[in-house]
Amino acid sequence: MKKTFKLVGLDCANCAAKIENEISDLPDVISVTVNFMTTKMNIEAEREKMESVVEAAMKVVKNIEPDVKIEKV
Amino acid sequence: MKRLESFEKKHDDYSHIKKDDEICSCCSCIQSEDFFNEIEEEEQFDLREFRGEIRFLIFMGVLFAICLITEEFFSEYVHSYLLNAAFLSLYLVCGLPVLKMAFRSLIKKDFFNEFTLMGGASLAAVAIGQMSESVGVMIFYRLGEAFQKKASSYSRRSIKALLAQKPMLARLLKDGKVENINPKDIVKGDIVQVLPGEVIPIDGIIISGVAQINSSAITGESKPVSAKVGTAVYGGTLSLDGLLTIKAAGPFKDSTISRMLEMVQNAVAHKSPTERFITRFAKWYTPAVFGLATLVALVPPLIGQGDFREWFYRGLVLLVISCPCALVISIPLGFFGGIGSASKKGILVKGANVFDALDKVTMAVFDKTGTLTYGRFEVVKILPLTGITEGDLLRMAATAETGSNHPLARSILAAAGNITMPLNAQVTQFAGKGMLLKTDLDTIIVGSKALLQDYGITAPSISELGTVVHVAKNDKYQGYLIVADSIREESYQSVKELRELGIKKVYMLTGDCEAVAKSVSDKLGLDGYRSELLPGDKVAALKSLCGGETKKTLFVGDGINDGPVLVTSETGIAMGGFGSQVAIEVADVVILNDSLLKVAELLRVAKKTRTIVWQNVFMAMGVKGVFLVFGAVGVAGLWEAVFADVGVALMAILNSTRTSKV
Repeated sequence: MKKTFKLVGLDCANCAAKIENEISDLPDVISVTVNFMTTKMNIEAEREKMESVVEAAMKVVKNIEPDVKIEKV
Repeated sequence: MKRLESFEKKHDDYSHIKKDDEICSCCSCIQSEDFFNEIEEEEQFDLREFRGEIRFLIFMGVLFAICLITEEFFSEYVHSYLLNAAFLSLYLVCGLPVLKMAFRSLIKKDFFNEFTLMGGASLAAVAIGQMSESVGVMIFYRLGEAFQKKASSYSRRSIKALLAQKPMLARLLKDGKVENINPKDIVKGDIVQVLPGEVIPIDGIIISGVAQINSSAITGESKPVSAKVGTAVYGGTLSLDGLLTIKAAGPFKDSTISRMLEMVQNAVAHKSPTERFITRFAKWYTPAVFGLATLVALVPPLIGQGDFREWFYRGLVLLVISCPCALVISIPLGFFGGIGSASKKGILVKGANVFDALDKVTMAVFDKTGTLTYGRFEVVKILPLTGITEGDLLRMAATAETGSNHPLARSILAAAGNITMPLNAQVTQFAGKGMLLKTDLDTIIVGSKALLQDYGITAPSISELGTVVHVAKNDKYQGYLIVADSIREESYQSVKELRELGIKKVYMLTGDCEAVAKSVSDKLGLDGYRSELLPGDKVAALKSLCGGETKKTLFVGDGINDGPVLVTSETGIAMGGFGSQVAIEVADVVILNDSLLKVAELLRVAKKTRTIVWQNVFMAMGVKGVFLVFGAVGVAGLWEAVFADVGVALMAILNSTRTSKV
């Protein structure tokens, strides 16, 4: 399944790329795109794993860009 | 008095809306749903932030200039400690946010990002006593960042503007009363009234009224079309003059405009290989330059080639240049502009990857019916016997067909215009053969040669493309009509333009018979075709036509029964995407109106977008490369380095805005 989040305040293209790279290295992530232009993040993972994946992904975002707010879409 | 009432009523309408949504400046539309609201808010915020930042930086710049002038001309009057303290405090005020971010990332063991690089370089400059330089670096760095932010938000806004014409209210007709509701609350079958000059709130069918409809907001087609009872209209289009009553085809979320919004929102989820390449490049570029900077700072002094401070300073210059953001930002901005530009022309592109894929495309495969041809039957020829006019023959045939619903009959009736069934007529329908109509005066038989034969009438054998419809009246042969699906006018032009744009082979797939396929193919000058295909055969036919190289093909179909083919080809383009949900799901590109010329248009936009993106890449790399050398040999200082970094980012951004003007 896929989930989309909005990363409010994401304003650096390189950080977007970094977030995407790190999340794609997380276990159980099937695919992830972080789009700098729409400031949206799409995560794909197995339904059962989704919760833990999202939790880990949030940590990555917070870690790289502490000022970014993550909102569900 | 009445006018006043209606005026007040109008105001009521708006106040009703204002409760939950904000009216945009053009006042005939509203940014109600998530995407727009978000962007709108962000934009306001961005703009405030941008202005604040610029004011702050100008103020700092003035103070900085005063300090510089003092240092230059009045240094004998001011103690150097005092001057240094002034520079230092300016540096701290300007650089604090950057230093804070740099510190935070260092704690997280992230050593290579713009903050650590800029912060580190400027701090090191302070350490070796280059006070004014470090302040300058900070001010210019922040100025550049502010403009970058502004540019991305501008680019987002341009996409938004293109779909801005969202319907803001619907006048629901219920029990003879008009009720103003949010379009989102419309359900299937609701009757909605649209006043002249208003945006049609929902997809539906006109049940009363006539109007000129302008659909430029959605399809990019600026010529208004006239609509009457029975015409399908789409939410987001504009009724220019008439009062219309519309029956909603479904809820708002299923309407074309709503689906389009969704598609554009998700458009950028598919990244292009170019973008991936650059992010990968940036990943090693920064550490590599950092390594180089370290070498430059340490090696020459260690082997006794000059002053440590001099080489250390050169290392710092390299650090500033190693900042990857200019490189990384220029790509998505360019593609985003391209997607926006295509959308403005009524071409929805699902992702930046399409632009890259189109680069490799050398073969185009078209579906025939509904794509190269109009997909509807038309009377293309009328051949009466001598002594009978074409009009008479057509009317005769049409009279007999009044009772039939067959597509052929419909096309003859449409060609004849206003024909009604005569009184006391007896109609007999022969399935697959034709019609017989008997009145007190005449007997008319319309249909195949075989049908006429059954009634003892001899019809000539005609070998022409299309369906031959013979006409006989009172046992006498009168002539025949040819009904066929005609080639779109723009098909010729479209094929020609595609060839000019580097498409080497143009093919066609069709379920139609060999003779028709050959005729269409010959007329259009195609390189080949496959005929008599069942929907399931099309994928195999596509593969065999392009010799298995589906990576190099684009396929254009109507999206109704082409789903698998749209997926198989590298770039699947669905035409007339207005109606079809399937098309939107499986196609890579949806052409909203029915014009085949948009395929060539898409290729042009893709080409231009790619050009601009690569210009940006080369420009960014080139400028950085040159300044790396200049920095290493000591020609360029920190000032030049920061100009190079910020300047090249701004140039890339400006260049990217060109894509939206293709």
